[in-house]
Amino acid sequence: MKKFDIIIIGGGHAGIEAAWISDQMGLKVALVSMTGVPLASTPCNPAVGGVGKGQVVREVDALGGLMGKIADLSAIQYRTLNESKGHAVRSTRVQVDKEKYSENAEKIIASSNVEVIREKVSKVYKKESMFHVELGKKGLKASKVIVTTGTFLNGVVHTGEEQSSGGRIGQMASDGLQDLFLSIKTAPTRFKTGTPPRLDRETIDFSKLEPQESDPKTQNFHVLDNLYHRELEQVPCYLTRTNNETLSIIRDNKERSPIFNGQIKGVGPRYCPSIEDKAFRYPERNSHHVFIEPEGLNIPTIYPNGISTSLPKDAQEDFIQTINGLEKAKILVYGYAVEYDVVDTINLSKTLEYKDIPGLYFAGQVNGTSGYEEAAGQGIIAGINASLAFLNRGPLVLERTNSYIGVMVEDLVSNRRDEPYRLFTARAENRLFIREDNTTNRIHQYRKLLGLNSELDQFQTQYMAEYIQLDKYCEKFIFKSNDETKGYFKKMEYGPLDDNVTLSQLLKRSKLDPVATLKNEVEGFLFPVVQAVAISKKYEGYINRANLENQKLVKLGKKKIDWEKIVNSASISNECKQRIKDIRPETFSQAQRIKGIRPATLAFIAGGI
Amino acid sequence: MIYLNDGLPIIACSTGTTSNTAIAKIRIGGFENLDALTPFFSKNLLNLRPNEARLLEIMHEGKVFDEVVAIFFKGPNSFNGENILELDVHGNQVNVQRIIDLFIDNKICRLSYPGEFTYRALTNKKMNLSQVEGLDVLINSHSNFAFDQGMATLRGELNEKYKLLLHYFIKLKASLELSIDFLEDVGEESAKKEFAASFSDFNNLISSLYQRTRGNVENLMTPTITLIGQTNAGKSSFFNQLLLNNRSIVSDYAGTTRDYVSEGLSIKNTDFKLIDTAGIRETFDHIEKMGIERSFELGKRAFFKILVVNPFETNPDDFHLLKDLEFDFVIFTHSDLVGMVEKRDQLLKNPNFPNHYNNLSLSLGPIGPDESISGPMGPGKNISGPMGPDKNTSGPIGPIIEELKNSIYSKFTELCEKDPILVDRHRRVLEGIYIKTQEFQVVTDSLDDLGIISSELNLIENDIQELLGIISPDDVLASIFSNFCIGK
Repeated sequence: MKKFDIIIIGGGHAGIEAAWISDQMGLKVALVSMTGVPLASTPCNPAVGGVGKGQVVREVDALGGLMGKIADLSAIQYRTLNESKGHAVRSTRVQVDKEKYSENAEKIIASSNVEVIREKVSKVYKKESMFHVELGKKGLKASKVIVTTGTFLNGVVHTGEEQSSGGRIGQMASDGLQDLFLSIKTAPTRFKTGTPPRLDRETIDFSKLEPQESDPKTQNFHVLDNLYHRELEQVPCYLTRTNNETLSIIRDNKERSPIFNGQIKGVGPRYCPSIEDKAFRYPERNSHHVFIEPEGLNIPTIYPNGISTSLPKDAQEDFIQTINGLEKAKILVYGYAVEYDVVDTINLSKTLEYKDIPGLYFAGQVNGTSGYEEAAGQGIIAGINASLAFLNRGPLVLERTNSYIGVMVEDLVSNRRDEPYRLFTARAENRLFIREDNTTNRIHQYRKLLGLNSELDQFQTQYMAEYIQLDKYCEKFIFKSNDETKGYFKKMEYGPLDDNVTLSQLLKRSKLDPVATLKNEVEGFLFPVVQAVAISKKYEGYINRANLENQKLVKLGKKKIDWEKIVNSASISNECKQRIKDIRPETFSQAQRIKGIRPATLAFIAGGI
Repeated sequence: MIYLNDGLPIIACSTGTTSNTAIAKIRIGGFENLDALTPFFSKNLLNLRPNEARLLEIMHEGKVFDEVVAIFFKGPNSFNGENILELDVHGNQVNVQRIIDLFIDNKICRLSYPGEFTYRALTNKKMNLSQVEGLDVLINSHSNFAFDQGMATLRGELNEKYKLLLHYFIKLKASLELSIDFLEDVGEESAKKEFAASFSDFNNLISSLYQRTRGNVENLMTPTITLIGQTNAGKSSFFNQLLLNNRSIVSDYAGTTRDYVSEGLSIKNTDFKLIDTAGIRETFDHIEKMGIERSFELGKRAFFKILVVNPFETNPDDFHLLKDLEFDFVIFTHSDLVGMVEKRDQLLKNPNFPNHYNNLSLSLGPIGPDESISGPMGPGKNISGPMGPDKNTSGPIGPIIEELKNSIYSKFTELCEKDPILVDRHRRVLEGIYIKTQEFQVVTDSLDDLGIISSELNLIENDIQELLGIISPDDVLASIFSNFCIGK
């Protein structure tokens, strides 16, 4: 039986982050992954980032994680989403070559001391303070285990009437974990997720479709690279739409859809509906976007984003061929839905450790989240905290006020969900501050606590020194005006240019592009620093105003409440009582965030404080 | 928090402690069970079934205090969620006090603070904040209208409107989030449409609620009529004429000050507050000047303003003092005197004559043989002048007074038709939400930055929570319970 400091079960996006950071922190790491499955595979859409998620990728990168680096090495298209909607809600998304993505992940992990073990786990159990992981005849043990098994927990795959057990098409479920999971509380509802059929690139008529090109102005994820470096050739995605005919085929096949005929009981995410959901829930709409995304440069498959389905194969073929440009499209892999169990995350602490079984951590989709980015974010947090615990050091918890990872972890451990969890910017109360552009500024303090000294740490030290210097400069520097600049300001409607305007005040002007303005005025600073300082200045007033207004609420939010007393009160509805009992909120703000809690109940709780 | 939440049993007389009545109601609330109270009654209270009246004697150590009817309301089904024992006792105040003392002296309960029974209803969630406010309106109302709104609020109807406002707000917020997080899925156009539609729902509702806070509504809880005029115009006599048969039974208004006199005037079951103000004129007397300023302030705030003018003793040079007021009525006195009509018309032609909607002329003679008019007076004024001679009255005064009262009443009902919101806090918060909503519209029209737009939208959310009583109940409670006294 081979002994490790930490064993990670599952080689997906959460698993590799956990393994990598634990290795960086000097632990002896085993990463157990299924045979025949590449590391960090992307079984759903071939893209990394997106609104809210791009922020997470950058946070993982700033903590020293892999996702940003691998995404950059594998990217075949860059886009900035919400570009015209203001700096705070902008996010980066890249399309990746899924083959290259796994290759790059394998390569980077191979360059570390992580021992990758390709075996199926047959049993996991805890004996005294050690976890034993049996792999057929072999065995491993460690005092820390991180489980990152995705959708493989009691997974069932559905394509029409066909069903098979497994977490993905063609892959077995990880039943070796059953013993361990007998002692783990799972969420009361099973979750469901699905994918669309994959199409043969050669059979699509691209001339009919609207192309969406890669944006050369979008910045890379990984901070140590050249900002606009492109490793691979950049290719377009295409846009097409479903129509009346598509939707009537789907509606005619309602009885054959596992989601609507009762075969699937799991709850799918409302934000990522299958085409069946769209057809039946929104009967008044007869057209939906379909994004035609290449899965790689040399891969024949196309991912038609927006039409995930679990209809029978013949129905899939029929409806696909009604779509503009896809009339002759051939399906290479049929769409399917997968149903799976997830861990009831209210039993986890903010370090993602299972409270009742010290040393055992969970991260990724097994925790009921959806998305590679959410998985990576949890993976690195679990990895860091398991390592810190192994080293007898204090935990690292990211705050929800300054990171999306913090938002996600707190949401996960403080509330029970009834659908897969995905990050939205709407989940963050502090959206004007938690932006992509200032990620280093927000995260460096956490990275510093790991006590490492890599190129990343040196970069962050330099970045912060420049940031502080430039920030001060903006406050003090008086903008020199002359008749020409005054005239220009008038013409551009930038507001009056008085003699005593500081740079900082100028950057707040609504019509003025803060980044271009500051870049014009200063020299010798890293561009990301200029960008972050300029945008921070622009939002400063709004953030302060919001903070001021929220003070009352924040003050109330921090007040401790006695949930047991509330639950015992005769005055509130049984439904609210049950929700409070499940979540056990300790503060008013936690109570406030409980899903489905009624205003009257909150008023009652507030009244009792 | 204003009350120590000590959870001790409390006692109070709910029917008032100022006068003797046939029956008075004493409430004891918050006791664990009836066991502790049994030693003070002639029968074992454990046999008392909830919600049933029972004839008992209050007795202690062999002495009978009173014969009473007792009703037991068992918590949590009582009005405030606690066990309550109601005692209908003989309403002599000496008796009431004796009984209350009996329970306090024997340490069974302590004296309730004003409003504490209701406060406990709030903390036990038997009522929400706006219901308590509704109760306040109901108990302190002076009109059918206020009573109805108090009842509606108590029944939670207004609160339903506020909840709808929250619902629209959440939809609006969701539509904005939709255009941030799901723009690709829904497309720019339909996101914009969704946002515009939900903003319009929200804006329409808050605008209509806001309209209900507008106008002269702050006085509707206690609608006020002021008599304003120059010295010796006949205000005081007119004041008495108006009150002659309609002095309201309840007249609990704050007492006389040096500057003005007020009385309750009842018209068709609605209590108005009639104020006779100090005569307005240019003066160098410091004290008098202050009185005049106060008269003027009162005049401005009143929902119904009457200018009283004696055509024979009017100084047109002082009209400018009243130029900012709009009068509902001008009453010209001394219509019985020769030459009055000419004098009156001459004044009305004066371009500086105060703004007004109607005018009436009348004489101010005493009506009945036994009526003696010795009305209240302004500071330092004597009343020898303005009383009209009792001869030569030009027609009956009754119909004129009636006309005026009808006019007052119809203006009041007109204001009430818009269903104005009577609770101060609601008006204040609704105004805040309305103003922020208008500011928000300006921001959305001028900026494309959705981060900023959503941050500005969040500012409205706090106010809506305040409206529903979710946040900042402390100061709200403090102000409610310091204002009214119920349950005691």
